Amino acid sequence: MVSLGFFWFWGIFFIIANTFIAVIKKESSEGSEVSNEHKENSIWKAYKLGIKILWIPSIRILMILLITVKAAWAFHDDVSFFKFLDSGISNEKMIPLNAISVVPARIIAPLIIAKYAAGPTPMKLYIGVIPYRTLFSLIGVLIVYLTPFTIPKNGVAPSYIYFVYLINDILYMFCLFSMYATMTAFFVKISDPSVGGTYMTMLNTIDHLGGIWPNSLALWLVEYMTWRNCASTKDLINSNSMVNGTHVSYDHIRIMLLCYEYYLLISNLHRLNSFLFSCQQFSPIELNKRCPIVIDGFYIETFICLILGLLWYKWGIPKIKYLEQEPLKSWRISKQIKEPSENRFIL
Amino acid sequence: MISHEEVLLNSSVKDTERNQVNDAVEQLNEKEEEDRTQNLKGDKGNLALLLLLYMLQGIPLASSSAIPMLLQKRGATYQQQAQFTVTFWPFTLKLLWAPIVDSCFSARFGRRKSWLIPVQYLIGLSMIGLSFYIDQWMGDENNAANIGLLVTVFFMLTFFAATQDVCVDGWSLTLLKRCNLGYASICNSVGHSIASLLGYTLFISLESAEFCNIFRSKPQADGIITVKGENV
Repeated sequence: MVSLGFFWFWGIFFIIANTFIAVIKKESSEGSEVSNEHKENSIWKAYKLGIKILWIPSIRILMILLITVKAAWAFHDDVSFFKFLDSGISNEKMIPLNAISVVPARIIAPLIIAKYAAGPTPMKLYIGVIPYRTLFSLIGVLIVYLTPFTIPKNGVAPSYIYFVYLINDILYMFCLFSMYATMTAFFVKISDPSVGGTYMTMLNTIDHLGGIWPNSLALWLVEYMTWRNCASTKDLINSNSMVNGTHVSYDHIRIMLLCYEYYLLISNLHRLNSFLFSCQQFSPIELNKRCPIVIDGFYIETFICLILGLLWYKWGIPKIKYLEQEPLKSWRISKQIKEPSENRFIL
Repeated sequence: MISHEEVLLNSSVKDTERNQVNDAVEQLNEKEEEDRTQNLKGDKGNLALLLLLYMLQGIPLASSSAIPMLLQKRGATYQQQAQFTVTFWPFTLKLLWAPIVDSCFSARFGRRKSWLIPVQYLIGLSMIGLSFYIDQWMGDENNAANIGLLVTVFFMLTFFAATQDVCVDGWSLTLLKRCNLGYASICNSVGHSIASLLGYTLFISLESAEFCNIFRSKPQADGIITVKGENV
C-alpha cells in the first residue's frame, strides 16, 4: 500500500491545473474594459472607489440585514450540539458523525435549489426557508430536553437518539446552506463588475461576520445564564460563572472544535488561556453532578433568540422584498469620486 | 416589457417605420427574456472552470482547519493551538487588500488572470515545499512541534488563498453569461463543499491509523494518507 503525501499531491495538482488554465482559458476583455470606466490608476483612488460602495443606500440596508439575521438561531448553531453531548451522550461516537452530517447537506442542498437560486428572484426562497430553519432548530432543543429521560438508570443513551439528532441536524443544515447559496446568488446579481472583487468580498465578509458574532456570544453567555445549585462552597467557586467570570466549564473537545472554527479570533487570547486552563479541571458531566442545573441558560437563550427572530422577521422581510425589486442600476457605484450630497439613511 | 401601443403614439407614422419600430421592440423584449432565462449552452466550460477554481481555493483552507486536529493527536499544548488560530486571520481580513487586486492588473494578460495565475503557482509551490518539512514541524511523542514555522507557512498559504478568493469572486461576475450569473453561487457552494470533503473530512479520516485499521487485515502504524510523502 503506497502512502500518498497529501500536500505533495495537491501541490502538484495546483501547478498542473494552473498551467492548464493559464494556457487554455483566454480571459474576455470585458473585465478590463469595465474597469477602465473609472480610469483609476492609483491604489489610493482604488480604495476610495471601494469605500464608495458604502454610500449606496441599499447597501446599508443589506448590511444591517446581514449582520442581524443570524441572531435568530444563535442558540442552535454552536450551543445545542454541546448541550446534547452534556446530556449524557458519549463524546467519541458523536463528534465524527456530526462532522460528516454536514457533507451531504453542503453538497446536495445547493444542487437541489440551483435552478431557483439562479433565477430572477432568489430571495423568495431565502424568505421561504426561514420558518423551516427555525422549526428544525426548535426540534433540536426538544431533543436535547428529552434525551436525559431516555437514558435508563446507570446506562448509556440508546443508539436511536444519535440518529434522531443527526437527521434533524442534516435537515437544519439543508436550510442553512440553501440560505447561504441564495444570498450568494443575490450578491452576484447586484455586484458592480467594475469593482467586482471588492464588492463581492465586502458583502461576503459582512455575511461571514454576521454569523460569527451571535454564535460566539451565545456560546460565551450560556454558562453565565445558567443557574446552578452547588452543594459546597468550594464547588460553587470552582464552577459557577456567576461568581467568577473567567471560569467557564468546557471540555477540551469543545476547544478543538472552537479552534478549527476560528471564532476565537474575536475573543482575545488572554481570556482564551484562562478558560482553557479551567476546562482541564472539570468536565461538564462531572460538573453537572456536583452542581446540578436549576435553570439551563440554553433554554433562556432559545427564548431570547426566538423573540429576536420574530422581530427580525417582521422588520426584515419587507426590506428584503424591497431590495430584491430594486433596479440593478441602484446597486452600481457612481462614476464621480466626490461624495453624493444627499445621505439619507433609509431604515 | 414594452408594449407596442406605448411606442407608437402617432397613428400617422408610415407603415415601414411602424414595422421597424415593432421589430426593435420585439428585439428588446426578447433580450429581456434572454437575460432572465438561464441558458447553459456555450457556458458549460466556464461553469466547470469556476467550480474548479472554487475547489482549488478550498483545499488550503480545509487543510489549515485539519492541522489543529492532527496537532492534538501529536500532543500539542493548548497554547500552541491558540497560536495556530492566527492562520485564519487573512481570510477574514481579505477586504483590506481587495481593492488592490481589483485595480492593479495587466490588460494584456487579463484583469483577473494577472493575479490568479501567479497566486496559484505560489500556493502550489508552497504546498510542495511544505510537504518536505511538515512531518518534522508537527512533532511527535519525542519532539516538540515547531509551531512558529507551521503558523508562518499556513498564514502565508491562507493569505494566498484569500487573494485567490477575491480574484475568483470578481471574475465570476464577468466569466459567465449574464443570464447564468446565479449559477456562480452554486459553483461557490459546491466547490467549497467538495474541497472541505477532500481537504478536511477525508484527510482526517484517512490519515488516522485507527480509522484505516478498521478496514485493513493487518493493522499498521500509519494511515493511507500521510502529510508528507512516501519518497521524501
